[in-house]
Amino acid sequence: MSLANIIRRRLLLLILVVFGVTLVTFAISHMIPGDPARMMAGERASDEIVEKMRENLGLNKPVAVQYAIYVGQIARGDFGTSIRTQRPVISDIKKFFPATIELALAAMLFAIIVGVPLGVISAVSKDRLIDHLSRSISVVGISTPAFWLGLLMILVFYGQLGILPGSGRIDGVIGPPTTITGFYTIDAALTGNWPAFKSAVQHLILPGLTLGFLHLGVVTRQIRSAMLEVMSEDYVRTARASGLSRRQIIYGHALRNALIPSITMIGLAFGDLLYGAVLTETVFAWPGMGAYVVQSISSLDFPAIMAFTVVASTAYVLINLFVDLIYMVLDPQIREVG
Amino acid sequence: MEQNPSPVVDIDHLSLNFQTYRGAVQALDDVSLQVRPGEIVGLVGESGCGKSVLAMSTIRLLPPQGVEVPSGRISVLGRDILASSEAEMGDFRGHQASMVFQEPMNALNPTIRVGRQIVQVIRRHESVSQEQATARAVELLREMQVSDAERIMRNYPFELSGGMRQRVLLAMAFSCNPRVLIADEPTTALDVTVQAQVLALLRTRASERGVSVLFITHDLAVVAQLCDRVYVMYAGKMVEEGSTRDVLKAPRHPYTRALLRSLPEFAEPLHPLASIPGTVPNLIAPPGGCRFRPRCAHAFDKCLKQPPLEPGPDHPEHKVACWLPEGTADAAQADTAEPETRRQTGETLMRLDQVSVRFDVGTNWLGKPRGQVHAMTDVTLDIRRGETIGIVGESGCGKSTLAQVAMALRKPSSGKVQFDGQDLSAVEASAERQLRQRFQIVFQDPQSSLDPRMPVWSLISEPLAVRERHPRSWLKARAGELAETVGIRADQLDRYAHEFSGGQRQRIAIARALALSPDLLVLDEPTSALDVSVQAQILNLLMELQRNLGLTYLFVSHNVSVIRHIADRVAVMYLGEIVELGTAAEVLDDPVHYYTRSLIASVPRLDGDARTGAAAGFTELPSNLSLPKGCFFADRCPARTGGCEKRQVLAPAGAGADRLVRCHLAQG
Repeated sequence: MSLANIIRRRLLLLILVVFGVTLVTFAISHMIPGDPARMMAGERASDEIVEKMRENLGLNKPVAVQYAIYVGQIARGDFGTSIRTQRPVISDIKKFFPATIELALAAMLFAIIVGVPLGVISAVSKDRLIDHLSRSISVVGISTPAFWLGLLMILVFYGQLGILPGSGRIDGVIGPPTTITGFYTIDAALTGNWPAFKSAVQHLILPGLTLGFLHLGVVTRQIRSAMLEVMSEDYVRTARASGLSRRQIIYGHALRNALIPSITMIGLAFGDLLYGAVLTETVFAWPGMGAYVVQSISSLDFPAIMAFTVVASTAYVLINLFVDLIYMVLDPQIREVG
Repeated sequence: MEQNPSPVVDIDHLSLNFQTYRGAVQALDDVSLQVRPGEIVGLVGESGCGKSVLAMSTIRLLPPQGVEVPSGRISVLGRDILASSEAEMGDFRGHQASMVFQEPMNALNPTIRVGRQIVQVIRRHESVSQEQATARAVELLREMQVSDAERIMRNYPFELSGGMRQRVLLAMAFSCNPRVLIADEPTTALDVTVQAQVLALLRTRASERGVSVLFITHDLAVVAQLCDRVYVMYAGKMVEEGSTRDVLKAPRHPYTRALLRSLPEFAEPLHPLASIPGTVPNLIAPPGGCRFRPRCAHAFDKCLKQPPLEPGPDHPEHKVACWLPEGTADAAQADTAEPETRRQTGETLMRLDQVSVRFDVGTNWLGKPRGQVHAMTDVTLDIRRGETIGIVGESGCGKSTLAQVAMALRKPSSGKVQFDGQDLSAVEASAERQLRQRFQIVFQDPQSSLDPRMPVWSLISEPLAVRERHPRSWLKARAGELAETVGIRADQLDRYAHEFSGGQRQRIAIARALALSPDLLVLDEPTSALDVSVQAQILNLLMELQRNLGLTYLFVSHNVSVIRHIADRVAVMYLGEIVELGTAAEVLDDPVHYYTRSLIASVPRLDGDARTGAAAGFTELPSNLSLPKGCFFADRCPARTGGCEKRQVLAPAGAGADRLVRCHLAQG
């Protein structure tokens, strides 16, 4: 199956997923006790005002009609108005969501860049000191709470050493770069705004490490076990019997095959990163979706919650589409069979 | 011995242990072996005898952890293998001594194009440019009779057939002009016709290039076809050594003799086979003295001392490790009596009527299939009560699909299956459940077909338990009875499957299949995963059960000798069709279809004129995605003529009413 076919099929799937998500969130929002009109109008508003509000929001129409209106709005990029902030939800999302994605990607990048080599080294020197060391790092990474690690990082690198910033996305003096993608690092690089780029990268380091540390452990363990399995495959024996060097065997033959199962896991872990960033964002005063969503939930801000769910699901499906493409690059058989 | 040129491989009194948490496994004990220049030397033995360990040790491929060599030397081309550094071994392997392995399916990296894998090896050992190496790789593939070598170079392993992959591996092994080739069961996973081609290829290329070969196999007939000399191993010891002719025609060690006798070729069809009692010893604590002693019919007090591997007075080149004087014959135990007649009424038990099975393959982005595999086409077959009908053919011929259809595990795409007069697709669910009890299956690999987490009594009685509620004690008692009928002691039933040997596990699988007292047993390659001496035991058991219980067998196998031994009638399948059908003697001793002829001719024979394995032109099996218009075999048929463009029908061959053949040349 060709690449184009896979992408086409996945995009078709994406539409179905988004449709499903809207259906579920919409249904839940109508089943949860609590009256959005009353919430919006305020505690002391008279029944008449609440009724008027209900009419404005379209809440007195039949449920099916409400859903059709809702989907139609989403299709036009309109997620309604936030009950809490009174701004269009889409503008809030545009503001906060790229920050979360940028942080998640930075964390993932760190986990992969460090975790993959660590896993490989650990596997090829199984049961030796370096293996025990890397496995200890994994366990510590998996079991350390992010907020504690974050506070520790701030204390050391910002408080004691003063070499890295401990909060926010960018230096207030420099200010955010011109918005293109909403990712400060990419926008700064695209506009050639190097001071902003440097500052944005510096701000990413500590929260990125904090959030990535957990996944570092997961990636290391995954790569280690996949490598151990692959190293006992017949084709590795063939490579050894042909006199190939250890380097050629490990990096040329084994790693590529070991990455195949690991890539899937990394794609799935990205979901955790999206939803799990809340604590890290809070610790580093990172203006991402975490705090926004928590506040929206506590104030039953349905338009905002639903918008976040739809956008996050879409991002998740897109990331996994991307993962599948990598998968196809690594494994020729997938390319063929689809 | 002194006048011989010095050996290229010289393994000298080698002992090797594996450290395990249960103790040291004495995998090799004082083993010596020589390969002289230009020789092809066979190393035979059953699983676990240490032959692969010896092969791997020859170029030091065993992982170093847990391996210890208390004594002995290995010298290959004058290099002291045990004393060389890892870097020296890296330069040596693949260059001066290379190796090919058993499973061509897994021996190539699935994510790298095969051309690159060959080029990589060439460039590892010789400083040549990418272009030169590529040209050499193409040339090598051509030498291995790969037509269209440039295209194959760009293929990934999964796009190639097993035979093609083994050619690629041979090209890789020969790529840097090695002087020694170690081949560890290189044809065991291949079909016989492909095996014949690969063996012929190996033989000619090795002799052209002056490569000495150490050929490891469990198949004595392959040794007969290929090797100049042969070594026989048992339980980590070398028990016999000599020229192929001497060892196979006049074996001296009781183990070699027993092994040869357990081959189905050596017995009259349907007679019990000679089998070796007992099992291979545990090598953590091997028996003192001769390791074959506990299973040997001739053992006497002297056998408590380890016999040396020594030439006999009249046979300077034929060595044996046995205290028995030369010429000790085995007790006459050949069973010449006619086998007891079985209840064969000729009445049809199961009938496949014009059954075809097609699978959808590949899907476009909307999930529509892009093509269909024709796994079985218009198969009509009567299975008669009390008979054994054998289905033979090579991989992809549809024989396993036929077994699945007969088990109602797969619905035919068209056609009908009748069991005892009832149409399986037309009966109601409850009736189908009743019918299903009456046919049961035994699979190939008892390793994976038995749940590792169920005790054996539960494995055996599960078919009873899922149908009706029974008290546990009743199930256990019933399992005990069933176990006794297949030769498993009832007091072993609380153990788990992994605690049994392969042969015992297959007995358990048979007991499980018998639990519902079926009429028909479908046996899908039931002995293919077993050693020949164990295969003999299982075949004997199956024949005995058939006599005692009046069972009907549908016996599927790629092994022509096994089918010849056990089957009354045989159907030969090719590309989803039955091409020949008749009694076992008719079809397998005197085949008329050209496919059956080439199949039979490819089977290596112990008595066959050694090294005549015809290097027939290599052709790949046609795809069953798009079936040929006329005769399916026409493209590969040596007798192709005018009438072959027409679709062939299965019709009587000559006067014999019962024998059918799908070839217009043989019908008349």
